[in-house]
Amino acid sequence: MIRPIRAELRGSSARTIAILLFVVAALFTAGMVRTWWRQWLMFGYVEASLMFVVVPLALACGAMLGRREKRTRAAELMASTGRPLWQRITPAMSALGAAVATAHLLLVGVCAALIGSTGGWLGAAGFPSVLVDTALLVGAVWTGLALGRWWSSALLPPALAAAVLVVQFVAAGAEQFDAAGADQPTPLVNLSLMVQFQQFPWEGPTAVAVLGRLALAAGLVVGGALLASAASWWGRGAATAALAAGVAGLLLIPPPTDTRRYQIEPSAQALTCADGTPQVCVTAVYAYALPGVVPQARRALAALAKLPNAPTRAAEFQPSVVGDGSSDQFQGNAPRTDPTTVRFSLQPDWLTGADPHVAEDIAFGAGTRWNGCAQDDEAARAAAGAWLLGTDELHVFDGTFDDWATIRDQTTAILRTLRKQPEQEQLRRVTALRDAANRCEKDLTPILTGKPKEAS
Amino acid sequence: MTQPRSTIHAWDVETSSLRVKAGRRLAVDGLDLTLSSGVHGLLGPNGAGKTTLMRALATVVRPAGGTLRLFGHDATRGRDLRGVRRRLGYLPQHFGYYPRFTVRDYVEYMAWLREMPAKAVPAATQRAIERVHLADRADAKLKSLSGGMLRRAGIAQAIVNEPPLLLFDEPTVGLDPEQRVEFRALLRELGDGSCVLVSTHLVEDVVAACSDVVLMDRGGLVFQGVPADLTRLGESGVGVGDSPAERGYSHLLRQHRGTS
Repeated sequence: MIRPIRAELRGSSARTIAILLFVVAALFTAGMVRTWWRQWLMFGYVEASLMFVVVPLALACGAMLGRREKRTRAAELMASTGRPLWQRITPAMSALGAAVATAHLLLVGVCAALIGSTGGWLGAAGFPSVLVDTALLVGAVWTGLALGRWWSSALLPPALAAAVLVVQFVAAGAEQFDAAGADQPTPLVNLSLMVQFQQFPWEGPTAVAVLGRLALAAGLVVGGALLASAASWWGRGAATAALAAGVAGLLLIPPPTDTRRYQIEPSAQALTCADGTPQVCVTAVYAYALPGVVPQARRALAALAKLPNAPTRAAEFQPSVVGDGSSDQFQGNAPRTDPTTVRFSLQPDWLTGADPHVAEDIAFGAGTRWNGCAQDDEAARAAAGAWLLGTDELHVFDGTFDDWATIRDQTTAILRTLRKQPEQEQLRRVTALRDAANRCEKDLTPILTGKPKEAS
Repeated sequence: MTQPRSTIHAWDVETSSLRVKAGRRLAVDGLDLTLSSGVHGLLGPNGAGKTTLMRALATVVRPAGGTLRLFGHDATRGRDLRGVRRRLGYLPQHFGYYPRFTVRDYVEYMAWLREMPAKAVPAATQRAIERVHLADRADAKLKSLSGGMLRRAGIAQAIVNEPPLLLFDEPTVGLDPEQRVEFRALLRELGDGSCVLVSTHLVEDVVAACSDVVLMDRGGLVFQGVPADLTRLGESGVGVGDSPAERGYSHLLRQHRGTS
């Protein structure tokens, strides 16, 4: 069997198909490099989304190879040989499966090496998903090959790819309305292989999300193999049942909401701390940024130390739940009580790995930004941070939002008023703001200015 | 201890009232034919049913009626097919091949499909390629070969397992005169111990290389005998053609059409 498989690898289009899929996948992955650079679990998201494009292409490529016997008129010669059909197609299927799997794993390997060599976190989490997607690709080319043998029209490959893409596009937009008339995703969205965006780099797919894709992969692998080798209607029926079961598994097993598709990977979210004091810690996925974070965090801790009962440690914020894309998720009415540690968030530049705004993030609201409370009255919080750092404004927001200019003007005005006070009074007011913020109070400007907040 | 099944059979090929369809048309209609070792030339005009008969003998199409026995086994019965096919070599009229395979890879591939023992495949492949004088192009891709070379590659894949029944459907198409002479010599060699059926329009090939002539027309058997009979008939002054064998061939066809 090895000899004919080698012949297929050398002489069939298996290698060309693998190279084509590799190139398309590499272009897709390169186009999303900002999302996954140095982030293994984010790469997992990109790799999974890649299936949206690559699976239809794999089906089409498999169908092209499947047409080979009839297109080259070799079918008659093959039919005169003694081997049963399932043996006759095994070399081509093995060669194609091996080539496609190798190409995909090569891409994953290259990206993993890039992530590892640039200091990114690598862990076992994410690998099961990659392996399932590799099986999914193999199943797709096998099913395409089987369909190409069954219906050898030249129209089949493009029609197959287009049909699967259209189904995915339609499924991706599928919504239903709940009793209140709000949009809710339906299980139909699962038919789209473009997975929903994950919010944090320490999140990985849940077992149930992987299981849904595994069902599809198994359905395609088994259905494709059965369909390609079926010489009877019974065999074709079994193949159709396997394919249907795979699609049903994808449809029904994973939950349609993204918060149940992802889970926090503890080892990716675990804190890594720098040597020396005061202690500064970041999550494992941002460990590469730690050298740049430490001086900024210590500068902010030194500024916070002006206040009584100041924290002595800075650590990156670690949400205990999966992100849903809204900051409101972590900002409610329940203050977090850990007076020794101030929390901050990191958003390093994808290429340099540096986040120049760590000190501002810590100083914002005098260290209360990630205390679990809703962040109302941002101008007062920014003014407190700027006062602590001795600056005139605080770069906390990226300026994208329309009201940022207004907040900046208000911050300047509050700071001007605050700095007119005696130094001890300034300190008292900023301390009072911090304590009020830690009680989740909302109206903070009067604490700094000593007068009611003007209507904006 | 289990005794091996007897392989004794009177004829390698035995058909009785054989009927085979080509599409909806009955291309072979009530054919009675027996063949044993030797080289048998299958002659007949276009539409005589030669290719359909070859396809039925190659077990590619299922007969519509009658009996077809190969090596004593019913070749229409599923359980016997695998064993029968293992002992077949076939070059179809349209030799289908995978263009990017090399000659060696393709012949080896066909040897594997014909269930040769894996260890015997490389040597058998080399021998088959040498027998058709393609050794110097053994590692060339099939798509790079000329028409004549492709035909020789097709012959190589048919003979690689040294089968007791060889079916060649128009094997000399595309061969130059020198290659045709060489092929005739190969046929004579192959016919020594095997049953070789060669479908062709070239009467002189049959006369030169075959030990037996089978003439078909309109799906039925017109004549079966030795080439010398054909030549003798032509020498008697009947029929049309450039050689006695061709005249004998055309005379038999006219005679058959006149009586049918």
